[in-house]
Amino acid sequence: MRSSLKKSLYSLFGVVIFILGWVIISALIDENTMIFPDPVSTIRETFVLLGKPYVYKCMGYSILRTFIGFAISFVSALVLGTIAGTLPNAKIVMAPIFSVMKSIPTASLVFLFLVLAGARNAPIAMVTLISMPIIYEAVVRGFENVDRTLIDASRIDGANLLTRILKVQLPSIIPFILVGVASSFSLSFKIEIMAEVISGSTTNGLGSAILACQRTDPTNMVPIFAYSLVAIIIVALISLMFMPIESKAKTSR
Amino acid sequence: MKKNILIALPMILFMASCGNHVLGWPVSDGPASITKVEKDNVKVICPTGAPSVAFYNHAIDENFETNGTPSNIVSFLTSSSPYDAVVIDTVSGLKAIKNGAPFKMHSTLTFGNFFIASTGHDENKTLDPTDKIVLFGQNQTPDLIWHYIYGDTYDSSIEYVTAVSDAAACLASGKNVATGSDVDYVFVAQPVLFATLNNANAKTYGKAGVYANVQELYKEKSGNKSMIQASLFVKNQEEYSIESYLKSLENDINAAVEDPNKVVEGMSKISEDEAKAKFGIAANAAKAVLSQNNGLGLGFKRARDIKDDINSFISIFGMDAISDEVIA
Repeated sequence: MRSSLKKSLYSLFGVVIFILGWVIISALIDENTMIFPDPVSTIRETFVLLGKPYVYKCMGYSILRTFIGFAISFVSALVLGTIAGTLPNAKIVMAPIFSVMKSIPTASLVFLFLVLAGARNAPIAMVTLISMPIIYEAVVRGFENVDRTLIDASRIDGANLLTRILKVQLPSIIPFILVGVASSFSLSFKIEIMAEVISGSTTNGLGSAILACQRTDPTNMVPIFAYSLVAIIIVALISLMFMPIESKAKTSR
Repeated sequence: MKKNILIALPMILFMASCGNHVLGWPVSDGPASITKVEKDNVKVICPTGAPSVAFYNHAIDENFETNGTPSNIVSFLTSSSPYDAVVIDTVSGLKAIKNGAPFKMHSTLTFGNFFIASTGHDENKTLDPTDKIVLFGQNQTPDLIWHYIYGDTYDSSIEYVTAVSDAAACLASGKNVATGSDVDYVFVAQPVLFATLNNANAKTYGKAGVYANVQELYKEKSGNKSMIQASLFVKNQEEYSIESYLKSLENDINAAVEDPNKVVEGMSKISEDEAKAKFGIAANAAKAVLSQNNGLGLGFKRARDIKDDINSFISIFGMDAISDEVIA
């Protein structure tokens, strides 16, 4: 109890330092509204935004697209990770592919997906491509850490490969998958917003809203900061949601 | 025999590759005899900002899409493009056609929305080589237009910024944030100019204003020719025609230029924020800029009727005159 209170106080201290830093930078930069708005005007604008139905539409669509991209990546990573986890040669074949996927500059991929999938769907494809290697690695790591005695025991019991994967290995790797999911979902949401901005999409979405603010009045950064604050709040909520799952998964590993 | 084939093969391949091109521009194979069917759901993509305002009556039309990054639109000038018509800056569109894009130039929708704005710093209020001038897009349209009009007279006073948003920031603050210098004049485009001049938080608010209309300067210099800024390119389709869609677009544009309230009526079919995202401009701002002597430069002219203007404009970019085959 005392340690959790201490932890909360430290977190609060971190928030205070962040806001203080924000106030100082904003005061140092002369052009407050145009370059670096202060926390007060940003928070005031955030409340204005939160009163508009459009913002909730944008949040909803950005989260929905993140979910779609993430679901595609989760299923693909699970299938490919299972193959790589059970067949060592398949893991070697997939290694360069996933290395390339991890190192391709995100911005250049947006332009590729823009042509292949259109501005509306390019962010979904981006989320899929960015989160897939993270979940894939979590799955493979999970397979590598499955207790050998369990696999041997199932072999002695006469279980075939499919039964062994479904009934022994996959249940054992769930904690690893959950950690992978927890660490990549917030990142996916950020990628979604960035991809919306780069792809120039004008359909509902937080990235599209940020782009629209920048296009309609480039001399006023306050709405851009306010939309970013909305995105930060969403990411914080997602992280909070995943926190108990992640800590439970880490202890059960 | 074998040797002859080896010599002839590259020649055949070369001739085949030149088959549809003369001096770089595509050439048609002859008049088409197929009767085209008028297409119902015409799919169009357009950059946000001035050109998209032309489509104010398509606010809730799912087949009308916009993109906030104009350079992305070039990607849709391909044979696999899902769009029947693509609106893009004329030079990029024509370059794409020259490189084999299966599109033709149909009409021009915006005839320039560039202005030179004064920050209010210049005491004699006259542009001269001692003034500090900010231009956006080095070696791009604004830069080339500026040099077409003024030559190199002001080159020592020019500071470049990347985008129109950076130019707007210079106008609002009266300073070039990147270099720290005080700025006297800024080359900027509508509707960003309108938003900047009306930003009460800007340091130059109340002092900044429009110094010159670049379109008028261009006309003086070119012998009364129009600036051919954004044009509509139609996909080469043998079965379908989109002429009636484009006729209705022409009527919409003419109506909006005559009565800017029409733009507000059309764009108000969606919420203000959605309209800002889709069109890159709020309905009331579009109306205000249009009311100021058509500050968005909106219009509708068939490419075949303004071929001289097109050729004169693209010559600034070092491009050859277009052939009739490029025009729809």
